[in-house]
Amino acid sequence: MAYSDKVIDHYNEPRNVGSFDKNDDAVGTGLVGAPECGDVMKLQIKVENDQIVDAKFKTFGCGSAIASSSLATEWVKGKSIDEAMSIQNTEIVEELSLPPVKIHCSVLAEDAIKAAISDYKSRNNSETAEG
Amino acid sequence: MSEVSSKSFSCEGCGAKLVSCLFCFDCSSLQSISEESDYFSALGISSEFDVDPDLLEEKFQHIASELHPDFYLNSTPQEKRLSERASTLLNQAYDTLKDPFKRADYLMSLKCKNVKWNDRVLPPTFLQEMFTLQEELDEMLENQDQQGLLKMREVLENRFQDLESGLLPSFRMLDSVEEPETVLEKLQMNLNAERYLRRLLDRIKIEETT
Amino acid sequence: MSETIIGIDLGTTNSLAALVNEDGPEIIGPPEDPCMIPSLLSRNGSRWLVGEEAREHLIASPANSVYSVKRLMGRGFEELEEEIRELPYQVEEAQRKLVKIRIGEESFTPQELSSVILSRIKQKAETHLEKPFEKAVITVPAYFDDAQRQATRDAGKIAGLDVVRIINEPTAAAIAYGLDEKKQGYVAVYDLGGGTFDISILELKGKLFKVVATHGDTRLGGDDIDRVLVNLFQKSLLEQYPDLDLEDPSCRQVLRKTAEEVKIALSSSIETEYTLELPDKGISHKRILTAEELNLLLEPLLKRTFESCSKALSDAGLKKSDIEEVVLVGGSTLVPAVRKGVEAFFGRAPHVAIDPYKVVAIGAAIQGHLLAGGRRDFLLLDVVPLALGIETLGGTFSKVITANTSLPAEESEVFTTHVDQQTSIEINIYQGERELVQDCRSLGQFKLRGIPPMKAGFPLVEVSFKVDSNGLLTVSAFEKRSGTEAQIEVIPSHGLTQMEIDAIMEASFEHAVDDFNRRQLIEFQQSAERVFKGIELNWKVAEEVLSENQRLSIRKQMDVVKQTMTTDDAQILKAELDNLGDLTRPLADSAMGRAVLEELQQQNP
Ligand code: FES
Repeated sequence: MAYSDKVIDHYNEPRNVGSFDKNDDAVGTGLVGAPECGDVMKLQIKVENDQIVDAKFKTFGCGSAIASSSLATEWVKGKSIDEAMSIQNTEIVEELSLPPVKIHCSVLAEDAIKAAISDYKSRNNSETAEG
Repeated sequence: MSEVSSKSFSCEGCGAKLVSCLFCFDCSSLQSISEESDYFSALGISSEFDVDPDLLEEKFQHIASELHPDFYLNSTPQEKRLSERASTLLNQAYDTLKDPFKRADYLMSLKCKNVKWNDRVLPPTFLQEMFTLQEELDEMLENQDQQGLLKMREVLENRFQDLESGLLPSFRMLDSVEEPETVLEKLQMNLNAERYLRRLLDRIKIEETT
Repeated sequence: MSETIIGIDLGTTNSLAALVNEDGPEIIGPPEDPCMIPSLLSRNGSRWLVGEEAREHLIASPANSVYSVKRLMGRGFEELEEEIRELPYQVEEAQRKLVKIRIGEESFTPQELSSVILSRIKQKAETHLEKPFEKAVITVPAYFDDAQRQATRDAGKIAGLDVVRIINEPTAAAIAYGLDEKKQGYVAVYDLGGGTFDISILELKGKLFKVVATHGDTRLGGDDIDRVLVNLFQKSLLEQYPDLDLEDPSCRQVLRKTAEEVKIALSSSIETEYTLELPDKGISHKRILTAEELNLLLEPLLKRTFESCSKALSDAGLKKSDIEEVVLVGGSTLVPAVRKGVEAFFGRAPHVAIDPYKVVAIGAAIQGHLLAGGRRDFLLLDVVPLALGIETLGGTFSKVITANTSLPAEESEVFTTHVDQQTSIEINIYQGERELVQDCRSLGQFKLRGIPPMKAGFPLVEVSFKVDSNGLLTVSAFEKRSGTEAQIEVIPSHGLTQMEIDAIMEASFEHAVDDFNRRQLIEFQQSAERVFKGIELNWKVAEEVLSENQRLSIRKQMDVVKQTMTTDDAQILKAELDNLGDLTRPLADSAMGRAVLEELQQQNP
C-alpha cells in the first residue's frame, strides 16, 4: 500500500528529537523498552498548568518506533495530561498504517507517554513516594 | 511442577516406535506432521533444557539426510511436499534448539502453555542502563572509537555468558516447584535482557563490517 | 543406471556442462571438443551464432553481438543505467521497467538470450552423449536474489530444459572440492567470476555440506578488471589523440578484447606489451603494462571483495583463523594479484587444485547425480542469501525471513484490513539487507484477493513465505477466521510472467528445432542426401563391381529411404539408412568407390 507523505515524513524527518533536563520538576520522563526486539525509547514532556507544552524523544529502534514516537510527541503537545493519558497505540497504528509485525513499536510509544506522565505526577505529588 | 515427559510417536505405516516424529527409520517413510510434532520430537531428543550440542548435531545430520527434498525428486507430489515441509520443520527445530536463549523461550512456552506470567520483566534500572549504553555507543560510532567498541563488545559478550549460565539452574528449579510463575519470570528476565544486549552487539557488528 | 541430470555452469564469460559417469564427474565431450563455450552471442540474419563462432563477429559487428548477459538477468532498467552505458550493444526499457537487448529490428529479453546459450550447450551435450535429456542442475552466484534465480530458471525453461535444481556456484565448488579432498571443518569459497563475486563459508561435517554464511556482490567480477584496463587504455589514447571518439562500438570492442588479452598475459608474466589497433582511424597505439601496475589498479576492487569476506565471517560468527581452507573459484582468480590478496587476507595460501574454470560445473554434475538417485554420500544444505521481507511504514523494510536461514524455510505473518468490507490486500515484497526498501530489490507486488468482507481489522490473513530448496520464494495466504484460501496474484518486478514465457517459447524458432528427434531427423536426412549423391556419382563403378541383383536392391532400398525421409521418425530413418549402408558396402570396399566410402563413413561412424 502507499503511505501518506506525512507518514514518510515522520520517518525521514522525525520531529522533536532531543531531551530536557530530567531533574526539572516541570518535566516528566518515560523510559520504555520492547522486549520483543530490544529497542529502547525515551519520551519527555514539559508541563505547565496541567498542559503539555512541549515534548521530546530519543529512540534507539526501528523506523516504525521512531515514527511512532515522533507522532506521539506531536500529538501530546497542547493536550492536558489527562487527554494525553488516553492516547491509544491503535490510533498510532491507524495513523501510520502499521502492519501486524510493527504493532509492538506503537505500543512502545503509548507506554512511553504513560510512563512520562506518571513520572511527572510522581515528582509533583509530594504525598506520592518516589517510585 | 512435574516434568512433561517426552512424547512418544509410532510409525503410521509399520507401527514401529519413532526416533523422530518426522521419519520412520524402520520402514523408511515420511510421517505426516501434526500439532503434536514439536521441535524436540522432530529431532528425537527429550524435552529438557540441558541439550548436548554434539548429540543435537548428530541427530540433525542423521534425520536431515533422510528428509531432504534432494532425495525425493522422483517421488509422488505428496511425498515431495511432505519432504519440503518436514525439512523446513527440522531446520526450524535445529535453529531454535541450538541457541540456548531461543531454546529456553521455546521450552517455556511448551512446558507452561497454561501458565501466565509477566513477559516484560526486566532487572531494575536495566532499561536506564541500556539507554545509557546506546548513547555511549552512538558516541563511539561517531568518533570511530575502535578501542571503546572493542571493549564494549567484550563486556557485552561476558554478560551473555552470565545470562546463559543462569538458565539451566532455573529450569532445574522449574521442575521441582509447585508454583512456577516466579521461576518463569526469572527466566523471562534473562531472555528479555538478552534481546536488549543483542541489539547493542548487532550495532557494533554492523559497524565492524562496513 | 540412474537417469541423466547434467550440471550446467551458466557463466558470465563461459558456460559449460558436466556429467557424472562411471569414471566420475567430467566435463561432457572429448578433451578436444568439450561442452564449453564462451557466453557470447551474435545475430546473423535470423540465426544465432553462439560461442566461438560469435567471437569473430564481436568486433566486426559489435551492435549485433552480446556478451555478459548474465549481468542483466532479473534486473530492472533503472538499476542498470550505469552498466548499460558501458555496453556496446543497445539495451532498452521494456514493459514493467524490464530490459531488452536490441539487435537490429528485434529485441530480446536477457532470459531469451541466456536460453540460446543453454540450448547450444544442450545440443552439444546431446550430440556427445548420443541421447536426448531434459533435466539439469544450473548454478547461479550465491548472492543472486530471487528475481535473478527466477530469470535463470526461466531461461532454462525456454531452452527446453527441466531445471531440477538451482544451486549456488561456490556451493557447487565446495561439493567438488570437499568430496575430492575428504576435508572436514570450515571452508571458505572465494568465487570471482566474470561478472559476480561471491564468498561462501561452509561447514563440512560428516556427510553434511552446510552453508553457514554467504555474501557477495553481483556487480563485481572479471569484467570489472577488464573495465579498469579499458579505462586505462582510454586515458592513454586520449592523451595522444584528444579528439578520438571512444564511444564508437568497434573501438570499445577492441579495447575490451585487448584488456582481456593483457589480463591473461599478466597472469603468467611480470609485464606485457600491448597494441591498440584501430585501423579505420589509422591508430596503432603501443604501450607496456607491468603486473605491479595492474595490482595497484585492482586494489580498490579487491578491497570490496574482502569487505564481503569480513561480513560473511562475522555472520557465521567465525574468525579468519577458524577457516581450514580457502578454495578459489572463477577465471578471475587466476590473476596473481587476486591470489596474493586472498592469501594476505586469510593468512593462508588458497587451494587451487581443481581447475577454477571447471569446478563449478563439476560440482553441479555431482549434485545432479545425487538428485538422480545415483548416490547418497553427501547432503547439501544451503541458505537464504539475502533477507526476504515486506515494505512497511514509510518505505522501511521489515524482514520476514532473515539471511542465512537454512533451506527449505518458511515463515508466516498475519495481516489484516484497514477499511470495512475490504476484500483485498496488497503487499510489496523485497529482498535485501538494508533498512529502506529503496536500497533493497523489489521482487514483486502480491495482491491477496478473495478475503471475505468483514469489519476492518477483523480478518486474520496469514501469509506464508516459503523458500524452497532452490532458494525460490512462493507466497500463499489463508484467512483464518473464515478458513478461506486467499488468491494471490504475483506481479514480478523484474521477471517474466508465465504468459510471457509461454509466448516466448511458442515464438522461439530455436526451441522448435531443439527437439532432439527433429534435430536428428534433419541430420539423417542430410546424410541420406549425401549418400544418394555418392551413389549416383559412383554408379558407373557400381555397374562394374556389383551384380545386377545387388544394384537392384540398392535402388529399392534407396526408395525405402526416400519414403522414410518424409515421415518424422528419426530412428526408423537411421535403421533404413544403415540397411542401405550394408548394401553399398561392396561398392565402398572397392578402391574406386572410395568417395562413396568416405561419404558413408561420415554417416556411419
Ligand atoms: S522493531 Fe523494535 S520497536 Fe520496532
